[in-house]
Formats: sequence, C-alpha cells, structure tokens
Amino acid sequence: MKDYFIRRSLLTVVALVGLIVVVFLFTQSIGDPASIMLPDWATEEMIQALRDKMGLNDPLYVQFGRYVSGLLRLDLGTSLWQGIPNLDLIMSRLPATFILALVAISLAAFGGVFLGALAAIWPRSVVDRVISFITTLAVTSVDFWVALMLILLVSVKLGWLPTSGYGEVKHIVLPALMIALRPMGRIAQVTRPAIMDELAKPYILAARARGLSTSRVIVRHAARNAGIVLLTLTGYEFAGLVNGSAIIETVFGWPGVGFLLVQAIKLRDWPLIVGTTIVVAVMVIVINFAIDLIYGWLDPRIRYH
Amino acid sequence: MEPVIRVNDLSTYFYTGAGVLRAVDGVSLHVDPGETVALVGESGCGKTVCSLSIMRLVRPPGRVVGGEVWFEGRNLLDVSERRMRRIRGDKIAMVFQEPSLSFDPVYSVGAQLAETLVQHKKLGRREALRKAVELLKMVEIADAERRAASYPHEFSGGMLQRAMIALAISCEPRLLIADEPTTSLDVTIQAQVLELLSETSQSLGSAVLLITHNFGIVSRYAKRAYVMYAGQVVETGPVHKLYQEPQHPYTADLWASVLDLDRPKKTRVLPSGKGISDLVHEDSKCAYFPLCQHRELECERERPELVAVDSSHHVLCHRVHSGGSVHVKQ
Repeated sequence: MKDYFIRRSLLTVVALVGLIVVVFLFTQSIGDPASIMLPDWATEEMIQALRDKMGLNDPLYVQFGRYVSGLLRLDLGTSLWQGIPNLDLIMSRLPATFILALVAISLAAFGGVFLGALAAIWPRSVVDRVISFITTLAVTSVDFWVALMLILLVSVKLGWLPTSGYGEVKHIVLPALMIALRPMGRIAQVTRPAIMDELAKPYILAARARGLSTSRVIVRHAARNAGIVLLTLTGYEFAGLVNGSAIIETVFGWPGVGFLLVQAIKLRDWPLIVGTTIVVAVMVIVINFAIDLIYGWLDPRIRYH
Repeated sequence: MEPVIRVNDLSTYFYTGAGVLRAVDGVSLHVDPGETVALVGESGCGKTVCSLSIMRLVRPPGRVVGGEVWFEGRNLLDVSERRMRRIRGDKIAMVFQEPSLSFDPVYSVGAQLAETLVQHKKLGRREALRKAVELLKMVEIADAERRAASYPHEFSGGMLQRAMIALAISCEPRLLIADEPTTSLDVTIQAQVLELLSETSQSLGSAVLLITHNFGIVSRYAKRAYVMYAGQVVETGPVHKLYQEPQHPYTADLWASVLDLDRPKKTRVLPSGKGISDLVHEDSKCAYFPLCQHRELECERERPELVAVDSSHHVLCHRVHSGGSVHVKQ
C-alpha cells in the first residue's frame, strides 16, 4: 500500500506540473487578454497600457517565470473586478460549491446505487422498467429548464422552499436535487449491469452456498465488487461538480465557484478567470488522487500493480 | 442405516427460449453416512445442476419442478429459505470447481472463512479469525497466520482449493458436495487435493458427494457411483461392478474414454455428437439412443425404466431385464 501511495503521489505531481504548463499555454493562445478585457470601444493606447500593466509585453519566459513563482507563492493575481487577491476570492466561494457538490453527489450515489441495485435484483421486472424510465428521464433532463419549473412549482406556487439564497438547509434542497439528477441517472444505469455482472459470478454462488443471506451477499460482496467500477464514475461525476455547476448556481443564486466564474466571464476579469480555472483543475486532480487511494483500499489487487 | 441424504425423483428444468431443457430429469440418489459417492458424467449432463438443486441454489430460468430431497427428516424442497440458509455451509457444504473464482476477490481468505463461522457458529469475529487460521493449518497451508490475511489472488490454485476445503469443512458438515474439485487444477496437485478432501471428510465423518467426469478419480475415491447422462441416472452401483460389468453402453463408453497407456493406441474414445448438449429431448425414447452402439428398435420407441440387476446395481437400459445382465463389450 505504501508503494502504491508513493506511485500515485508522483503521478499526481506530474499531472499538476502538466496542468500548470497547459493553463499557461492556454492563456497565451486564446488571444490578447487586454483586448478581451477592455470594452469594444477601447483605443489602441488603452490596450497597450493594459498590456504593459499586466506584463504581457514581456518575453514569454519572463511571463512564465512570473506565473510559476506566483503559483509557488500561492499568488493567483488580483481580481480586477473586486480588487482583492483572486485566491482569497475563490477560496471564499469554494465552501459553497463544495457543500453543494457533496450533498448532490451523496444524493446521486445513494439514489443511483439504490435504483440500479433494485433493477439488478429483479431484471426485466416492472420495477426494472419503472427505474429504467426514471433514470432515462434523469439523464436526458435539461437541468436549467427543470430547475426553473421546480422553482415555479415548489417555490412560487407552493411556497415550500425559497427560490434562492444560501446558508440554511432549505436553500440547498432544490439546487442539490437539480445537480444530483443527471449523475444519479448515470450512476443507476451503470450500477444495474455492474451488479448483475457480479451476481452472475461464481463467488456469489459460493457465498450463497456458505449460507449467507441474500442481503449480505448483495451488500457485502456484489455491491463492494461492483463499487470498484462505480467509484470511477462517482468520482468523475464529483470532480465535475466541484467545477461548480455554473448554470444551476446561477439559476439559484448560489454563491459558489461556478457562479463566480460566470460573473468573471461576464465582467471580463481575466486574472480571475485564469485563477478560477487553476483552482478548479487542482481540485479535480486532488479528487482523482483521493479516488485512486480509495481504489487501493477497495480492491486489494490494485495495490500491487 | 438411514442415509445422510436421499434424493427422490428430482427434476430441474430450464425454461429457455428454445424450449424446456431438462437438466435434471427424475434423478434419485442417496448417500450414506461417512460414505463417498461419485456422480459421474460428462459436462452438461446435469451433475452440477443436480447439486445446486439439492442446495436450492438454482437460478432462473432454471427451476426445481419436482421430487424430494430428504435431509435430517425434512424435505429440503419444502423448508423455508431461512432454514435452508442455516443448512447451507453448515450441514451441507460445497467445494467448487474454480477456486480462484469462488472466493470474493476483495476480502482476505481468512475473512471469508471467518464470515462463514460467524454466520453459523455464532463466534465473535476475533475467535472466528483464530479458528480460520486453525482450519488453514489443518489443510496444510504453511504460514497460516500470514496466509489468512492474504487475498485470493495471492494464492496458487491448489492452495486456494485447499483453503476452500477448509472453508467447506469449517462447520463440520454432514454432507460435503465436491463439484469437480480438481478439474481446474494442475494434474500434479490434483491427487494432493483429493487426498486432503478424502482425509478431512473421513476424520470429520462427513459423507461426500463427489461430482466428476473422471472415472479414474471415481475408482480411486468412491465405493459407489451414479452415472449420469442427459439429466438422468443411467446406471448406479458399486464402482467395481460398474467397471467389471457395466450394463449401460454409456458407462462402458465412459470407461473406454479413460486414458490408459497400456491399451493399444487405436482405442475408442467417447462417441460424441450434438446429443449431450441438446437436452431438450423427447419423452419417447432413450436419451442415449443417438450415440448408442447397441441400440435396438425398442430404444427409439420407448423410454427405458430403471431396472435392478441386483440389489445394489441399477441400470436404465432396454437391453437389461430385471435380475438379468448383459455384457457390454468395451
């Protein structure tokens, strides 16, 4: 397990270095940030002045050095819009996104695995068909439309939950449900065949022949083995959610990273856009690293490869 | 003496799209206490389905459609699932063909032994783990303490099959069903594993139902055998009689297929055809009719009945009449 940990850590570092280089190249190739940031009527002098201020006229290696040394000092520049360090700004928004992502992925994982497992236990039954219908709906739903309809129904008509806001449990229900919808459908759709595959394997028959109960066979044996597959998907979905669900966060006015990014783009706050991208990408890498570690714990065979 | 298990007229059918497949078609057998009995036949003849039917582990589209399985005064086909669970692994245990696929890959071997002990013997986890190590020692696994914490993929096939025997005997079952226990193993360790199986079952007084396609194994480890073909028991009796005077042509063919280096090179092997896998057969003729080298007109017209050659020797063949005997040349 120690070797496995070290190997995974090294790979993660490599990924981080790759990420830093890619983001830098990306900022260089997307066009002139200065002219993107300034309004359409800006004059050439104004653009040049901003380029000087941002150091865009320096040689590439100087820019890269400045960028890397900034990163090493955890300096992601300053937001033009808010006038405070980007890192602080992003960090202040991360908890909101993180909580939402966590609640949503828990809903999606529990709901998805539960539905998928039910469908797997009674394949081709009425239960299976109903679940298949629900998950197809969930996967193909257009989230912002469903979100608006839900707000209309639950918040405006029935008045059960607030339309937007942050800070209390009632605020998180609708956005979390909306964000969970599609991952839940996908997880359910993968869970069904994964558990069916496991249930058909000889070790399940052997476990039943040892006198274990059906629920124990499914939960302790089939689900745990299927979990190895499901973890990949769930982790991938979770990594997607920490990016901040820009649309849902915007619809519900949820003060998360996704909402921040939308605002940054709207206001053409270039340093903030780059900073947010880096933070979000780092989060994804860190989550993938965590998933790898859980893998090793779940499947003893992986530790040795 | 009351047998450990008595199976009467057991039938298990598979309801497939292509028709009803009679995997087990009216099988009767019994195993006496402490006895090792073989169930012989080639793959697809219904041996495994027969054992799974006894354990009530047949999954759809298969279904046990008739018969009785008497064990400890109860018909297992009638008892509740709850009671059946208490019998599985405790009073009737199984050893499977593929040890590497029959252990859950994500738990250590010791944990899986302990799980069974906790389930049936109501031991605490720690105690169960200690017992698991003892059991692994019993089946001669070196360094049992460390091995108990190892995962199935860290074991060799033979070692894992010994661990499975440890698992099967962990609750001192009255009946051990060994389904092709050595088929997936290296020839050099097959004998080792079979010796272990026979020694441990003898020391515990467990009866063994040994399922195999290998007549060599039958003659070495079993006193009595049931020969199965296309879901039916076609001949049963003491192994020496089945060897010396086989009454059913299929039994004779099976013997002839055993590799014998002393025999001349050009020997007959088991006749094969589409017959065996095609169990969707009709009621109206002998199942072995298409491949039988002694077939007569009658064989196609009527399904044979089991007749007694003598009190211990029965055969399902038109050519044999009650009390009489025919010589089937090998």
